[in-house]
Amino acid sequence: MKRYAFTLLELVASLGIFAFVMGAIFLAFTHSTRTFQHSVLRQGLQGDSLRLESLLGRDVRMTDYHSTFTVARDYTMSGGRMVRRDGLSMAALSDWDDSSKFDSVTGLPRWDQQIVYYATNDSDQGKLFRQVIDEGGATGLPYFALSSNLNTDPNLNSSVLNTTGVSDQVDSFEVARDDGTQGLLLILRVRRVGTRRRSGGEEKVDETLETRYSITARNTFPKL
Amino acid sequence: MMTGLLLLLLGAFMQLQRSQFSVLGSGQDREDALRTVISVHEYCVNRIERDKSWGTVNFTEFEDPELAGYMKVKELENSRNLEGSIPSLDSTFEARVENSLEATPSRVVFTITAQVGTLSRTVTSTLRPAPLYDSAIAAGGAMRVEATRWTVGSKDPYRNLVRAKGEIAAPDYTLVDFVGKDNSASERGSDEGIFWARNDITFSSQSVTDPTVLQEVVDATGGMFFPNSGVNHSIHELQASDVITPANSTSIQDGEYRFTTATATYDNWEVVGHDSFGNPEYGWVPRSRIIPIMGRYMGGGVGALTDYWFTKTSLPSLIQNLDLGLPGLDHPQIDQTFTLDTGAQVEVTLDMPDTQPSFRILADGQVQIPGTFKVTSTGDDPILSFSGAGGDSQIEAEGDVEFEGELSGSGIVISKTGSVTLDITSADTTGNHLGVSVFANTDILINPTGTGDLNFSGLVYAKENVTVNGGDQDFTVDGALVARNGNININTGGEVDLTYNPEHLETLLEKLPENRTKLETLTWRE
Repeated sequence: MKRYAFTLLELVASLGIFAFVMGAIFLAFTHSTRTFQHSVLRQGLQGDSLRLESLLGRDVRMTDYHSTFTVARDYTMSGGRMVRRDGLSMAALSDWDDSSKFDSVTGLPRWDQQIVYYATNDSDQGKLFRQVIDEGGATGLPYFALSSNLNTDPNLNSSVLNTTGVSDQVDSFEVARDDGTQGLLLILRVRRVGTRRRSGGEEKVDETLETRYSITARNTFPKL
Repeated sequence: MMTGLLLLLLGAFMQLQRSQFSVLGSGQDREDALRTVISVHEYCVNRIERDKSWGTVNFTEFEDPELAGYMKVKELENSRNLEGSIPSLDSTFEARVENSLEATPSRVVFTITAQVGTLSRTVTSTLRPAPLYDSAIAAGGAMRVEATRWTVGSKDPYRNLVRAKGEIAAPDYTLVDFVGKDNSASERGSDEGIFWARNDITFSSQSVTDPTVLQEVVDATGGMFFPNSGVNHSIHELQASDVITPANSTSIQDGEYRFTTATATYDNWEVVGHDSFGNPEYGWVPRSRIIPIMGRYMGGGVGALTDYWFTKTSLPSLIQNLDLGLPGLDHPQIDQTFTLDTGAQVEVTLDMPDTQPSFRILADGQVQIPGTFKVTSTGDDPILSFSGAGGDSQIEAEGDVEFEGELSGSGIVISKTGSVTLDITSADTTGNHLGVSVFANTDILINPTGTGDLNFSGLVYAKENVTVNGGDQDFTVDGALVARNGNININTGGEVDLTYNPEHLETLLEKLPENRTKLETLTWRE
């Protein structure tokens, strides 16, 4: 009876093909996990960015450009790179449904709060906060005291009604007033650093997202 | 097994990407919903600006065919609601219009809801009629004010603005005040005015672009300052025909109406001797006397006398062979005050020892002049007077207008194609109700020549430059001062008080064509 078996050459060839396919699968897997890691980070950053757009966009559109005030602040990153971690304030109304919050003659809002956005400048990964400030009384004036009320610990700021954390991965937050649109130009750069386990240690995964906003303050009166 | 593993990896990858796309997608939906709301808002504003009664009564069903390429919008029958869609944004919308522009306060409210996918966004905005001019003083070019004090006032609770499309050169900031209708100190009101310029803003040559100077100026005035603005502001171009006209129209000939004198020669019936009994004997004796006249001169420079008016009261009662030695047509008058036109709207008083010469436009009179119009005097300063007890009056000349003397009453001076030059000892046009005080198709030049103040009520409008030269008199405008395309130069040793008064400007809106209006947004709420 004749027995059939693989020859040595066939065995080596099949093992070679198997190794090649396994290698390809491994590479694809490695690439996918890296992509996955980046995607997770990017998704987080996009979440931060959308959260800012949602909150800040509404706040700016509903304020008066004349009341906006910015404080430029610099921060030097560990690598020596200089970034901006600005502060921004704008007038706000505590209750849009309360008719007493509007001037009886003109119908214009009697601004009674300030909304402040600022990025902390104590570490490479800054935090971006939104705070509602009520110093009592009506005001549509710029919040000139802004620079002295931007503490790294938001709980140390005075006259704060509430605080919202917008992002904890801020690389830079740059704000400029724009007379042309009577609005604000903002650049938010958020950066997340994650780790991925691999043979022989961990690999750093770094993702940065920069978003630019140009938002018109639609309650500006009088228009310029 | 390997295929299964690969499919598993691919599935995980797709799942991840899908959630990422979903994050991005919801952001895009939010943006598209906002763009939809803004588009619908612009549509509604446009509809009301073209027809201010739009939305005051229920709609009849209407779909605007002009927008078909971009937007489908339908005004729903028996309601004040709209609905529609914007295919390019994959959005739908609903809107409600509450138009109470004819009520007090005059308002219109839009409530707009846009839907993109499952995301909806609602905005409520309130608007009001906007004035044609929004500032106490506006220049299409540069603005220079030199005075011992400059008060920028406003009777409008909404705004207190100074605008120049060139630079603004103001006196020292300690000499500048903002005065508003509402002097509330706790919030920004019209008492805290705004200086806006496309170029620099300087106070006593110090630029507010210097942060130290800016801080000092803000602290001292409480105002806000926007130098080198990138905003493209348009100053409304007014036409002479936009001005409301008084009811009684008349016309006089063009030229220079000059109050002057002439030497009259005549034979006077007078005592020439006495008879032996001592009774006077009468006879015609040649005499001459300088008498007041008003001449009309045509042509440039001194011009040629073409007509003249005089009164017999300035001559003896019994005379013959009267000769004034003047060319032109004589118009002897019985009294020193007489009417110049057939419509009896222009009343002239000659320069007599007991009266000041005057050129008076009677109440509700509109005097049209086919060319240039000047009123001058070689003697006492004349008065150009608008007698507005029964209604404001108006002078409307096709060419240049030039006046020397005292301006008073409530009325308007218009030059349809030329300039207005006022060499005036004083001006008081307070009480003007026609919206405009002075209109010039080119320049307005005001030269104070006496000691009286210069008070103008209403819009002082020049298509080109406005210049107020010299003198120590106070210069005030209650209304607005506008040089649409040119510069404004005010140089006085007195005080300047420019107060924005929207009441004067509202009358101009009445002359807008058809049923049009102009709106401005008061509040925007999301």
